[in-house]
Amino acid sequence: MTTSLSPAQTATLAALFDRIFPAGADGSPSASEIGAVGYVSDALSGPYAEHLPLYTELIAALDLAAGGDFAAAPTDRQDSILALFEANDTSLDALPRPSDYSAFDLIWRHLREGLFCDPRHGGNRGFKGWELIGFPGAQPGYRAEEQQVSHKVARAPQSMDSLGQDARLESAPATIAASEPLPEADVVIIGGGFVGGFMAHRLTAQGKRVVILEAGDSRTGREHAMDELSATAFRNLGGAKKFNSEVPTWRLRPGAPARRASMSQGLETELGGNSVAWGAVAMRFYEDDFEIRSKTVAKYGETSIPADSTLADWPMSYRDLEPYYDMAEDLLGVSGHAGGPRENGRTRGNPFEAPRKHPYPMPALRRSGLGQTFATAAESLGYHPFNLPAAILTAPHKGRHACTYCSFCSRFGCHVDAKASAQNTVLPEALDSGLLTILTGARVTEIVTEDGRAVGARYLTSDGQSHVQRGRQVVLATYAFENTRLLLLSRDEAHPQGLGNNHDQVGRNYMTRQQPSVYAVFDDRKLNRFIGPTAQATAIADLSCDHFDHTGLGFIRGGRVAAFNQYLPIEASGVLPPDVPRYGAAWKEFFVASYNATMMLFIDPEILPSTNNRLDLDPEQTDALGRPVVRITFDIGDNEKAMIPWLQDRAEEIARKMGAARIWRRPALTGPISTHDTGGTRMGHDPETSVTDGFGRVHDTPGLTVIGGSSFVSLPPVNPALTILALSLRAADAIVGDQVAADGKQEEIA
Amino acid sequence: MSTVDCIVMGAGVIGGFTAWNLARTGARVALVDPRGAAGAPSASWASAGGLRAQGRNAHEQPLSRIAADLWPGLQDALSADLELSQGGHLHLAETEAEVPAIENRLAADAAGGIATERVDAAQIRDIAPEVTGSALLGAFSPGDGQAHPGRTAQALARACAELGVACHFGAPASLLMEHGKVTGALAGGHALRAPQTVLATGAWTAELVAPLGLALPMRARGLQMLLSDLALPDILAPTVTAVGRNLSLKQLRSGAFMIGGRWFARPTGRGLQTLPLDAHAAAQWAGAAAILPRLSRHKLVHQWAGTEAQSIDGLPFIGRAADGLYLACGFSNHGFQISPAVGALVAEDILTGTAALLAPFTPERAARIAPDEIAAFRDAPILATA
Ligand SMILES: Cc1cc2nc3c(=O)[nH]c(=O)nc-3n(C[C@H](O)[C@H](O)[C@H](O)COP(=O)(O)OP(=O)(O)OC[C@H]3O[C@@H](n4cnc5c(N)ncnc54)[C@H](O)[C@@H]3O)c2cc1C
Ligand SMILES: Cc1cc2nc3c(=O)[nH]c(=O)nc-3n(C[C@H](O)[C@H](O)[C@H](O)COP(=O)(O)OP(=O)(O)OC[C@H]3O[C@@H](n4cnc5c(N)ncnc54)[C@H](O)[C@@H]3O)c2cc1C
Ligand code: SF4
Repeated sequence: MTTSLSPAQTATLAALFDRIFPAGADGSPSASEIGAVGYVSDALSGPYAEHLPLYTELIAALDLAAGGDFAAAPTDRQDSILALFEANDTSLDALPRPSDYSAFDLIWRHLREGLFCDPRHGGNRGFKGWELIGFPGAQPGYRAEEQQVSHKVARAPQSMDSLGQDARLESAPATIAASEPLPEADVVIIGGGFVGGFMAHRLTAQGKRVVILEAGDSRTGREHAMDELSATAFRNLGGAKKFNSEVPTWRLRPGAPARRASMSQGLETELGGNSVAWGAVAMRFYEDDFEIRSKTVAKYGETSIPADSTLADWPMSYRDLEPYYDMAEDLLGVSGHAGGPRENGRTRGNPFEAPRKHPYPMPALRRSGLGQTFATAAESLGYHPFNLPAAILTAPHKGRHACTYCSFCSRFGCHVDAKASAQNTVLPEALDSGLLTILTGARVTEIVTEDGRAVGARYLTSDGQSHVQRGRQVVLATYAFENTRLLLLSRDEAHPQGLGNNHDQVGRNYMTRQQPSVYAVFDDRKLNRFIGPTAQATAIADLSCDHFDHTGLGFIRGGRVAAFNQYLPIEASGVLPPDVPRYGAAWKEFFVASYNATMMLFIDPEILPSTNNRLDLDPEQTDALGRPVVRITFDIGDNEKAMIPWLQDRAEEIARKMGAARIWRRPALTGPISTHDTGGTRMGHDPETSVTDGFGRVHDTPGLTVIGGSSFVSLPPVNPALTILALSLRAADAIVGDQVAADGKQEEIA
Repeated sequence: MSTVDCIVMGAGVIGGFTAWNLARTGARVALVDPRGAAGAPSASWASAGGLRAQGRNAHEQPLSRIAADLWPGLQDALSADLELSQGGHLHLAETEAEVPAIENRLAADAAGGIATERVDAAQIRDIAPEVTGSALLGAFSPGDGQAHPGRTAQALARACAELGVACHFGAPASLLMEHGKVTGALAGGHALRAPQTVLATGAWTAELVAPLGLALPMRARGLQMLLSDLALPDILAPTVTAVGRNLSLKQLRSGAFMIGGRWFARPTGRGLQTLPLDAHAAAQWAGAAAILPRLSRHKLVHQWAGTEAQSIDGLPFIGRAADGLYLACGFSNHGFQISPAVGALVAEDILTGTAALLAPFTPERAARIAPDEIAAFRDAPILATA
């Protein structure tokens, strides 16, 4: 078997790439001149070896279509073959056709990597790709004035290698590679991610001995800093290894065929979980969100709730959760301007924000030039723009550095720990207590019960050993999908359908955020969106929840509209209006001209829980251990189908007011691609319609707590993590309370 | 059990340069550090990285001159970017009363062969245009500059490993004592033996030598540093200090301003870890803004503190302290600049016993200091009072 391309194959690939990304009439470089061909052929004998057969087949198919040698064919012939290839046209019968994507999808992605990756990976030679579009690469940070609209950013492109590692940062948390179990803990937590870290912090602060079982390895939380390629493509080999071996399948409705879901973000399954990759938008729910059903019925009547919706109130009020929101914000170091009603016209925050007793720990991220343009347009349309609160420092906090606005933020570990992760917030303090032990490489396969009570977790070590770690309380905190899967795969006599599932509720009420963004290109200004974190966003909440009158609109609830930063070139070069093809001078010219002039208005619509949508075990697909993967059944309902286009219309109005020259939108249904995967182990008072109580305690399984996005009852138009963390801290307090009570009883008996 | 020619405890810049120089002669060396190279909260982790030969004690001047010759070649020798730059060091007098201090420094530097120049107000404006117009007179040493201490220590550890030095990082370590003498070190429960063990363990030296009954006239103090948000690079080339202020100020390659001085940080009770004191940070920043007015428009983005070993007379302890035990500690807030020279001389002294330049730093001088003086030195308050 060959391990790389032959010279003839390379020539065909180069000819192909140079038709997809041709040299310009102005002398601008082609794909091969930028180094994309060299990048791909090197990658095929390295990290992308698995794709070599596809390339070999593809090249043969192109050569065949060109009558023997694609590279020697005239360019118009090459272009017509390319058009068929891009369309995955059946007339190219030798074309490889993978089941989940087209061959063009894959090579287009690799080509874009070769054009715009950090030169340390072999592409973008001599920064030619970055220079073409004016992307400065890895910078130690940006000054405020550089974020002004049309400010010319005069910085020579830099590789992250020339920044090096700042020696003033702390090292990875101390963990132990799992082998034999430890003595029974007060609490054993499955999953060392965001929830696991926060619960361990709260529990150890109250004297509890905690063991975390984490499937992945230890890490600093600064992984992939400032390197777009390694944070996206190569992450398949790194942070998301476990997840990528068990990606859920997706179908629209029962009976439809399920295919591997394309999770655009991937999920990190190493220490810290998605607290490392997250975008750090840290927003509370609104006060009424906790009484969503009763408030909606009171205002619009029972019939306003779609027939298929299982919309319900939460088993707690905002007031119950508020102290835990305060605590979570303080641990994270959230920056923001407090909002609330604008009686005195003084608030810079979100006017609809739930009442808060304390200001944010520090002031909001600055407003970018784009954010200001958005705010001005939104205000003139009668909206109330505000900066999103973010778990990103704007001033020093507990040894962490304030944000440098480097912009390699969502999907990246932060190079200065300005963005909160479990590693730079809760884990060091919890470890310092001496009460926490973290076992890494401990992949839990089952929750173990005795007489129907959870007593521990069975885990597999990297050398294939299986052990049980016991704990007086078992906490499941492995993200919505794995929370559901582990419950369904853990069975005993008292729970023949899985733990928590005696009323067939596990997996029901799954909700996932759709991302029906509106894009806009300006022809009179530069936006410099390659500066600033994603979370440095200006938003409006006027169209969220019930913040506006829905009479006559034909739907309930709404969504958030926001202008986000962070626009990195590998990803950005895949964002095209419907009338621009993915190849040729048209693509290249569009991207070069509009890379620094494209805005995305991100819409976070509220997704109602529906009887159609649930998670269960896929009857066919299994992971590497032969265990079924999660199957997602998800579609948007009539409410979303009416609401989303209406929100897109409003966003377009704002974009037009801002002066956009060209506007287009994504479809209303984008599928399970966000990381707002919620529901599945719904909280509630009634065991017939929920899996846990409001403290995450599983109704039918004593000794077991489940916490995560899976706990959600509804999915307001707000990012989930801050609420997940507040629920975690509250759940930790309930565990402490239960154990105090149990110990008290023991003493009474004794 | 393993035996080497020399064990170096501590992988900060002092231990790093010592181990590297020993290894370059072909000696078999082990480098031991529970935190690895420049780990928090060591001095090399926190250090401001100023390379200042000007204004030093006469005994240190020869070391400073050797070091000043070595620094420009170190990036090549270590194949590493050390963020080295030579923008000079500028020491300012802002009042007439402070002028004699500058004159004295100029005379002392001239006597010690350090190239420090007298600069008047107009020359100061040329060297550092944005520095306060109220500066009357300055001492300027153009050969001085800055480098990144953490990167230096890490580059040394890498270079040592390449030369075959056995690096024992990440595990607790202590001295190994047998038959009443130091015979090596215990690193992660593993016994390492050597005829000589060098303690380059900074502020941790006291706890390591306590079992030997040795008490050095040193104290551990956290020093705090501040960092501003980014300005355009190349606004301030030299490191600036001032006679009448507790301050050192420089601009980094990124454009950020870094503010140091001798501002003590608050002990946390967790080992030698300290945290910046807000009251000190405010005064520290205000002092810097008085020298560089634009700082009043900048923001604080980071602050940290690291622990330095300060000796009672401000000079390090370098030399044999017991059978098999060699000390190199107590660098008293200015050990970074001389560290390449210290490493070279300590290596020479260990291998040949001939480094006469180190004689003034002998640990034996400790015996001449009165105990109540030492107690007062150790107990001096952390908090600066107005
Ligand atoms: C790119 C990205 C951007 C995001 N942006 C935002 C945002 O801006 N705002 C927001 O609110 N949220 C955001 N999120 C979502 C947020 O990160 C998650 O909601 C949050 O991390 C969930 O915490 P968790 O502890 O439930 O799961 P995770 O943080 O995913 O942790 C789960 C942990 O469990 C471990 N694990 C999994 N299976 C097992 C097993 N079988 N045995 C042992 N351990 C196991 C995993 O390795 C992992 O460490 C984002 C996520 C991503 C990926
Ligand atoms: C904030 C600050 C600013 C400064 N600014 C300057 C400046 O501008 N210019 C200048 O010249 N100097 C400056 N200094 C001083 C200079 O940085 C120090 O003198 C120098 O770094 C000391 O290096 P070291 O190797 O002796 O000590 P350290 O860097 O403290 O190293 C000691 C090492 O010993 C290790 N250790 C501890 N216990 C053990 C054990 N049991 N076994 C083995 N190893 C152990 C520690 O982990 C540590 O790595 C500054 C210092 C500080 C703190
Ligand atoms: S918070 Fe985000 S944008 Fe800010 S420094 Fe960290 S990674 Fe960069």
